[in-house]
Amino acid sequence: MIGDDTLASGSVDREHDDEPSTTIAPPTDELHECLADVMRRRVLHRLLDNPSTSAEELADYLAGKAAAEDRDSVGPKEWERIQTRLHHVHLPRLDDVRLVSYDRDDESVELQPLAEPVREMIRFSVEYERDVASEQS
Amino acid sequence: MTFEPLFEEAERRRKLLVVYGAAETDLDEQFAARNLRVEHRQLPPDDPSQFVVVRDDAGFRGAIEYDTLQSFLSPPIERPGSLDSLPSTHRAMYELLDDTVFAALSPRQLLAATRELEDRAWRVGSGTLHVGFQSAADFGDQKPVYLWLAEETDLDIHVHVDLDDSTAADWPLTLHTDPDVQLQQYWFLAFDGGGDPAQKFALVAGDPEPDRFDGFWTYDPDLVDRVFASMD
Repeated sequence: MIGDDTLASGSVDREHDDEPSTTIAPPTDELHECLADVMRRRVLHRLLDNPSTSAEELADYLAGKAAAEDRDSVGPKEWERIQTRLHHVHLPRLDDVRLVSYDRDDESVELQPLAEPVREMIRFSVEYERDVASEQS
Repeated sequence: MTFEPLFEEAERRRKLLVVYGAAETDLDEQFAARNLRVEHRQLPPDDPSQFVVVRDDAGFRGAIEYDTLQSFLSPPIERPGSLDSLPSTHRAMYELLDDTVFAALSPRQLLAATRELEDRAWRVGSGTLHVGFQSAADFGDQKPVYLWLAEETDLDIHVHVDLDDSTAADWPLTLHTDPDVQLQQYWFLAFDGGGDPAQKFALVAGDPEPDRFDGFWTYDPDLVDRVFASMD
């Protein structure tokens, strides 16, 4: 069809997009505060692998993690509770410190371009929690 | 006089299973014939958890650990005598999976499921049990079971089958020998629970191909009532 070639030229040129001009690295206290909550830790950790998602998907993930942890199942009431906490508390909090961008209207979630030490802190905090939990069990 | 709307509804209730984990699962295969769609979400190798999220039109229905789910799936039907003894979330998962058992079955699996249901009716010992067969030959194979059930229990047994047998008048069950032509396409069982809604069940199966049945079974009291209504 006529015009197809010109439409394709609008996409972003990835080759020149490897190093964003700024990376996010919040002040230490703020970062620690964000990581001081298990839901926020898990959300950030999930976003490292899956940087563009929705509050709903994150609630699915957190409900599943809870089910896996308790070797049990989680129902819609608990999911509702998780989703409410995400929407009203945790995602706005992470948005405030610019670790993620959260659109309250369409509930889309995007991880911001984080500095490598921040990514490492997130990974470490989740690993640490898992190691401590497995030692206790 | 047809089960067609119930089949259509089963289609509409189609669920989505989202499998989270680092490892491949064979859930696709396990659910290939069921009324479910399976999607996968990869978790990083350093995350050992494996779980499944169930969704439908209305949104999130449940999340369950993978191994726990597997224990629900052992065929033909594993269900504790009393759901009340289960933790409420497990009960919810049974209820959730109950109305999804819309499966393609081999004749052997169908027979196994049928036996499970007959056994339940036998244990309750009273109430109304309707059974429908696609042919006199199919009923012939099962006749001893139903004669025995009728003699041993207070069950009020109704058999729907196109049959011409002069000895039938002596049988301790009610025979409906002129079933609706629509109903004749199905093999079905429906039990009213003998006064206990938790004991209600129904199974409806048709065979679109030789040696393969498509159908559903359910313990959902509302759905069972509608199976009964479909026979009127």
